[in-house]
Amino acid sequence: MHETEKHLALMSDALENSRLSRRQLLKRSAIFGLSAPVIGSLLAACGGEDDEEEPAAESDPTTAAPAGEATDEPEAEAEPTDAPEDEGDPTEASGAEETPEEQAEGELDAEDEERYGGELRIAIRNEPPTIDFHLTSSTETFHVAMHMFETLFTWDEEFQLVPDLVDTHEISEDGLLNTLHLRQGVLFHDGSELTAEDVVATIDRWANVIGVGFGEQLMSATNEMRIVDDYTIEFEMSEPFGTFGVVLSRQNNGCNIYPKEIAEAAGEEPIEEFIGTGPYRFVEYEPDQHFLMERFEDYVYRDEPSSGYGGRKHAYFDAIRFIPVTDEAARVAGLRAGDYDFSTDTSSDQLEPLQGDENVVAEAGPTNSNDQILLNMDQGMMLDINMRKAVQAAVNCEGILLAAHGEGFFELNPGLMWENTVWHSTAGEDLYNIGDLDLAKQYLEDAGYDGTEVRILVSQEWLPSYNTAVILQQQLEDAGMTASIQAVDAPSYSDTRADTSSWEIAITFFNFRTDPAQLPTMRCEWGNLWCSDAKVDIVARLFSEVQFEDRFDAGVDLQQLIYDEVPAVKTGDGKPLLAYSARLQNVELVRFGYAFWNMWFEE
Amino acid sequence: MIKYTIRRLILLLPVLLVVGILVFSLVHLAPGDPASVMLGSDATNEDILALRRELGLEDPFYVQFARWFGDILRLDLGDSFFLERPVSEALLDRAQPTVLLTVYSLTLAILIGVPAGIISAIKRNSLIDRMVMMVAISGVAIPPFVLGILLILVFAVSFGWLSAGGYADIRDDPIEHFKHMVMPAFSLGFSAAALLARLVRSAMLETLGEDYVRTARAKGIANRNVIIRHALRNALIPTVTIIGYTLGTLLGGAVVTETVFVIPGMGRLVVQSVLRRDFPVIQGAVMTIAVFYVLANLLVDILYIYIDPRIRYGD
Repeated sequence: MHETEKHLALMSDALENSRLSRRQLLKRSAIFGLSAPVIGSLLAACGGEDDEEEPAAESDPTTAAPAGEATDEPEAEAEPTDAPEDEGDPTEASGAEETPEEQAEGELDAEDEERYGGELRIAIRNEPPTIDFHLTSSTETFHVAMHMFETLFTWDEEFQLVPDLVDTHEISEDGLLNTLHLRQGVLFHDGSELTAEDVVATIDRWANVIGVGFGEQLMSATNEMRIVDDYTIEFEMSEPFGTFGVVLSRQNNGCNIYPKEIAEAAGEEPIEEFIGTGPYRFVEYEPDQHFLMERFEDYVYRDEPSSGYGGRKHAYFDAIRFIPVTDEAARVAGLRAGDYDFSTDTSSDQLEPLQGDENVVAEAGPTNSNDQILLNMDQGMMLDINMRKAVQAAVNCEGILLAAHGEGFFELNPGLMWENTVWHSTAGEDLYNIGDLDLAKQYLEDAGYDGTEVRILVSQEWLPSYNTAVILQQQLEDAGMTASIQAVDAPSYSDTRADTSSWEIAITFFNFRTDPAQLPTMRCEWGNLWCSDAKVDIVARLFSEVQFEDRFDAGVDLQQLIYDEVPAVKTGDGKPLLAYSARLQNVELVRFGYAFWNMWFEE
Repeated sequence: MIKYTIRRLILLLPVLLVVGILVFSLVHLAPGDPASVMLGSDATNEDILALRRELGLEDPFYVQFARWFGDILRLDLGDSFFLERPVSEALLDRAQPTVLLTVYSLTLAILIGVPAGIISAIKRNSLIDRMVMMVAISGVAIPPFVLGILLILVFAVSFGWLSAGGYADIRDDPIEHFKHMVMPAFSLGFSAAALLARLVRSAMLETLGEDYVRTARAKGIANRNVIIRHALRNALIPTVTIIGYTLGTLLGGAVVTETVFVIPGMGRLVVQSVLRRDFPVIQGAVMTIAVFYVLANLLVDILYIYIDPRIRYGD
């Protein structure tokens, strides 16, 4: 079918189903260069609405015909209805008075229309183990699932918490009652409307049936979760819970909202149907081949302008296809050959060859990793504070980061949280990046170190971590320790780290987080099992304090405690190499999981 | 011969038992398990342990083995932890790309390697012989995946003639199918062709030096007939043996080639399964490949009867 005919059919359908008013039809007709007789017959056939009537659903560019390859058409003919010739400004096509809001919306629609179309092909390193985000914290699941599902809250461009599926959130003065008012008219991909029952059933599954960490924390502070009406839910708290919105936000292992029937039917097992409220809907999944989704034409978006992961989400691409390509050389070659439009997990070594290719953009992205040297807080020599301080003193962060990430792909940062976030602090920075071998030797002497081997556990699949281990080993040996590296593959790393008798140091990293409460190290039973009384007290404050200033103080105290007790040594923040097709525009949402809405193709 | 064939098939059972014990032991005793992969890096040790219990991975080793091997004897390969479907179904879905890749590679190997070896033997110590052997040595030295990446860089990235990877079903679009399979088949088949060329040359030189070949020439038989009907036929015995062995190495090589060229075959499934510790798939795939290997060698042994009339298997 010719592109214009396709758009015509879509507009006809939208008009029939009252998703498009006469005014909007005229605007879009101007863009596609349709003649007056065609427009007239369209209106007559569909019994087009009066201009005064509002369309049944919120006007949404995604429900109208995408411009796609018809971008040449707006410049074609002048409309008999007085549409301007060159840019086909749709706000003048209607010939009627418009409010400033309608005018702004019209300008946005006009710009938007040209961006619609195409299939985005993304080469990802690993296949998601599951698409059910309640069951995993896998990064690949994060990349894929968050296009089809949404959470109650999300993050704006400054990583401030903002509502997503929620309309408003009220907290009582004593902090013991949280009331959520859901947005009305939000549709799931199966056409049903999101109601409070869906949200409660999903939270119950996530927090109680499966028992995800954040969910458990929420429920342990909640006396009762109750439905007030179709769009209102109340949480009666046993104590103030300052991270209420955070735990229900977009994040790793987050509470994606499912229809009630799906959440209840799945129980502890993975969901069998992928029905969400996101701007893209599931099409098909062929293991080892692709995961395919298409634009959800009935997506109901927020009115606010796009800001970070919040606000309006423009699904410009017709479809998104995630293709698992394990081998990095194959991902890069495929990108250069035009088989893929975006390649994830590309090492910084590829910068130079990719920059020489005019069809590819290769650049350093914003910092999104937090590199950590974990010290064993469960057993062994690292239980001695002097040993831990020796490691802290010996570490030269810059040397490690250069090897781990390469020049231009890291930032020195003493903070537990990333710079350019509201949580960043420099508490304890006098104990960061010390690199003093004499001081380290002094601490070793105080510890009575006898030359016992210090075993450094690392996954060889994470190159930055492996390189960190290599340089760290050298630095520790220069300080007088005997150090060895145990390099294993990723599944073996998790298994081996769980056996705290087999290592003294473990190299890891955290992906970008928007709130310190999201860091896995908050939990006593994670990783190196750090669980001092002081830590427990501060973490309790971090979760329970309602005012941001109080939570921020708890975050600062925690950071200082980390530098004083040394359960881990932070080296710095890494930046990814972003490698994508030169025709891909507005590659912005890459820090907290990739989000491919608001991106488009431009030849 | 029928009794011989039946005897060989019965001997498959102890082979499967040994392979089963080995593969089961290796995957279960090596560190790492699917629970940590499924749950992701934020999971706690308790979360991982709970999932391990749910998957039956905390049961004693012998209990797990008995459960699994009992299923194998009922021809049930179990269910994949990640794909949520039977292993047999998953393997069957991925059989087409792997089988076709192996067939194409082997065909290329025979079509290139055998004539090259014959020519090299006939033109022994000539420039042609030296050039063929030089190419053969490089073919043996260059790993298939390295050759594959080079082919991608030249034909996909530089010239843009072919896709860098992917697969098209032969039933849906034969032309796209062959366009996707040209480079993988060549990268895998080239090293097999190189090996075949060297071995065929060696076997041919040996038979060309035999008395009966000298006699045939002395009787005035045309050189072409001497080579094809006398020398080559006898040189085929070791050649067929090597082809049978090559089939096994091609299957193994397909594992890496499928990963480089993003072909959704059994080899790539095995790689993915190892990386995420999908035990049932690893075990099922290895057992399947073992059966296939044994049957392929049985076929080779049966072919000997037709090649060499002196060979008869005791009934």
